[in-house]
Amino acid sequence: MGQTGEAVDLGTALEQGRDRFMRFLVARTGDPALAEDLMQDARLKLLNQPANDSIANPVPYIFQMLANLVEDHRRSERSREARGRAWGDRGEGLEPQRADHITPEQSALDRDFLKRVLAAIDTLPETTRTIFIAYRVEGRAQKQIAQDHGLSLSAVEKHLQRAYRAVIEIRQKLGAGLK
Amino acid sequence: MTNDRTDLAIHWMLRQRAGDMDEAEWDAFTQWLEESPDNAALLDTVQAADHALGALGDASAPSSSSLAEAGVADASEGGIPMADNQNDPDTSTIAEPANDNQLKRVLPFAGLVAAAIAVFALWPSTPSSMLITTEPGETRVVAVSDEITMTLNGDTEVTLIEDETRVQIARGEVAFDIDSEDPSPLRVEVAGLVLADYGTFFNVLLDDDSVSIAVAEGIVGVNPDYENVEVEAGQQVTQNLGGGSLVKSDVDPDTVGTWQEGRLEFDNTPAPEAVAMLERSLGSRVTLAEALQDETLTGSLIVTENERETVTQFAEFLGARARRGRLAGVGMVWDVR
Repeated sequence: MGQTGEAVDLGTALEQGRDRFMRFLVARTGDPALAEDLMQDARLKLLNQPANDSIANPVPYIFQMLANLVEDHRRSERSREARGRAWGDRGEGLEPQRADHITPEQSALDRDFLKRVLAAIDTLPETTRTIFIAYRVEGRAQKQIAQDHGLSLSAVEKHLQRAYRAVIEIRQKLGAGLK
Repeated sequence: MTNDRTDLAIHWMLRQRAGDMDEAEWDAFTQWLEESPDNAALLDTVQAADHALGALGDASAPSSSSLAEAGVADASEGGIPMADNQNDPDTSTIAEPANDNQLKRVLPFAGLVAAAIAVFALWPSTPSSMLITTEPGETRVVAVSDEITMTLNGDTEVTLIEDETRVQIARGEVAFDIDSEDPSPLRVEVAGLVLADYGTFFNVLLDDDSVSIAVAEGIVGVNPDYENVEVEAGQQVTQNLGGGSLVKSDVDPDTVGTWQEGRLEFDNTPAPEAVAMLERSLGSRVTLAEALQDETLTGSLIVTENERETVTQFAEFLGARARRGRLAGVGMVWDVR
């Protein structure tokens, strides 16, 4: 790795902060074996990554990467489960699905969920709705939204919390059939 | 109490998403997770709900692009492929009535609905192009710009390329309403034709065999960059998808795009074509007896919430009767015979 100036090698930073990162991973996953696997994934990723001098502070960078790895792992777990369920529902005698294929049943469930969410969003107070749309649909950062509305960051967060609680509620009502 | 804990989990999802946590905040995050194993589980729940919002497409979070900017590697392993089976006619015909009602309640915010679904569907590949689809029985109004409104009839699929004001129709029926004195930048692409508009209300129908453009107001130019066939108010052009030239005919401007108000106009319309029109507005499958396939019908049909009434009226135009039937692989259908 072409290490220049003060930039710290990410792989080295990962090894140096190993205990701290593992502590995060174990707490985040509740599963030391999985934490170990993800740590290994991160190591490989950093190994294959070209040196990047612009990363002045590698510790938050690595934390972020690990948190994303956990999130993605959970996500693929959920789609696997959802596929397994849909597959079971379809009975026998059918060709196995391609591994990444979303079944029509799954797609219908997803659409149902989305329709319910959109209906629920319509019942939220206007500011809450606007802020949620700005954040989740338009992809605007909380800071930008705070500026646009002349609100504090924590006020924006309160609106987002309220909207997300509504989304979570719908998802729990519909049961676990969703990704 | 549960609310507070959920709020904290949402807080940490948002913070992680923002991609600007410093070392101390990451340690605080770890500490919160260590307080109780429930916290990590709650965070999983919150993130799962958030991912499900992107369920129609790759469930990328809004700020993963900002993470990318910050140099954080995208950790997703291939992501979730776009749920293209939403276009599968077999699945789209099985519309749950409850969902339809749900959607109708949301329709005052139809623009918002369309925007939301489309953005979810295409994240993050091409933010400026939106895929918009409707199911049978569902209509959707989309504001393309301040001056251009398009209304999608049921069972329709279009791609809107916003920056260029381009609309590509892949399937179905769309009415365009342009409120401007000047030629608009709108370009509609359908079945190999390009349509340009000059202050207009016009309707485009793309079915299995043909494409037709009917103009109620103003002028539409077909293929403006070369042949530029002008279609005026009170005219329509039709082209077979198998090839052949554009065929011009007269049309009553008052009948163009009336499906938007739930009114279907038949004028010596071949029965199978009329059935396709009805299905688009109804949301249920309609089957037609062999003996009626060659019939034509004329009349004005009001599509109401009452499916039985609507289909019965439709059948009367053909001197036939409608009843509930069952079709293998589809489920309940209306049978006209």
